[in-house]
Amino acid sequence: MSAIRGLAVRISTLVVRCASPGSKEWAEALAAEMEFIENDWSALAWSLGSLRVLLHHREAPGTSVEDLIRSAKKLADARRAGNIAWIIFLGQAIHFAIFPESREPLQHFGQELTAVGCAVLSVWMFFDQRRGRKVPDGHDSAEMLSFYRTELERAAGFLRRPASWIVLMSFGCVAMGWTLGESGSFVAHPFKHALPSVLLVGFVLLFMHQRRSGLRQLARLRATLSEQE
Amino acid sequence: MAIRRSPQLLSVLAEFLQSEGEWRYGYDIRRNTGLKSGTLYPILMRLAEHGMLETSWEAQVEGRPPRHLYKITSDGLRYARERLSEAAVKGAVGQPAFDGVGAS
Repeated sequence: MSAIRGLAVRISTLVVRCASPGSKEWAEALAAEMEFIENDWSALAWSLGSLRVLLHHREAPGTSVEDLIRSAKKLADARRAGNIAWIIFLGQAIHFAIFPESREPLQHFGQELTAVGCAVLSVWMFFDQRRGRKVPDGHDSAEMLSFYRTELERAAGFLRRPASWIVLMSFGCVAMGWTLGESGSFVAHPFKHALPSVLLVGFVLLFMHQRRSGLRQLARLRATLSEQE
Repeated sequence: MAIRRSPQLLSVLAEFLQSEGEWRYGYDIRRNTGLKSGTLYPILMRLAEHGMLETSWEAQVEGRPPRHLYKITSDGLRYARERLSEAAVKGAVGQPAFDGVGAS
């Protein structure tokens, strides 16, 4: 087997391994088809094209109530465990508010802006975490499913709540304040001061991904429960 | 998820119309339409999701992996004819898709 063919096979194998449950069959179909492509470069092009399957996230067909309860328990465990992100943001808020690193007006303003953004995010995360204590213990399936549904519906309606826009604006404040605090100017260096913007874009992409995934899970939950009724 | 109407979709539908009722391999469709695998398979996935394409695995032949097969359903045929006649009226059918490519 040539190196090119070997690379193509590796890519196809990776795609099959990483494809979402509902897309796995398609990834396998693409991988199987590659065996019938004689030209090595064409096989490589074929395998590179198969990477597109990874963008199509699909849940496994025929979700059962047991699967849903398992997902609900996973979410409940994560809620119970909580996280320390609010402490990190609180620490940042205190740091920038009490110990500003620069007296230069724009940099100082940037640090204050970061402090405000971090403080709001810390408060929001703290109260969001406290909700986690109301998680059911997992013995009652109906209660678990009800919890799961409430959580998914809450996440789906995130953008409709005014508080969520405050959270998003706080992230914007942190990114903008960070850039100003570093550069001391509204015109940031594209490479030197890119990190806050990159992190903000990363956060927005992660948020969009989580939201889409939540909506898919909600649709799956509703479909399965309506089949049961 | 809705099926996005594109020249690539029309090429795939036209390809299935040419071999109505026959099971087809993905690579053969790719050769006849000239589409890349990353364009072709998402279209096949969406058509299958909407019940317009039937899929199946062929029986395993010794030494070679089984291949995935595709056949257009009656709903798919109806949809293909509608879309292609619509496109013909608008003059939007992708012409190069079949030029100079031999049938499999």
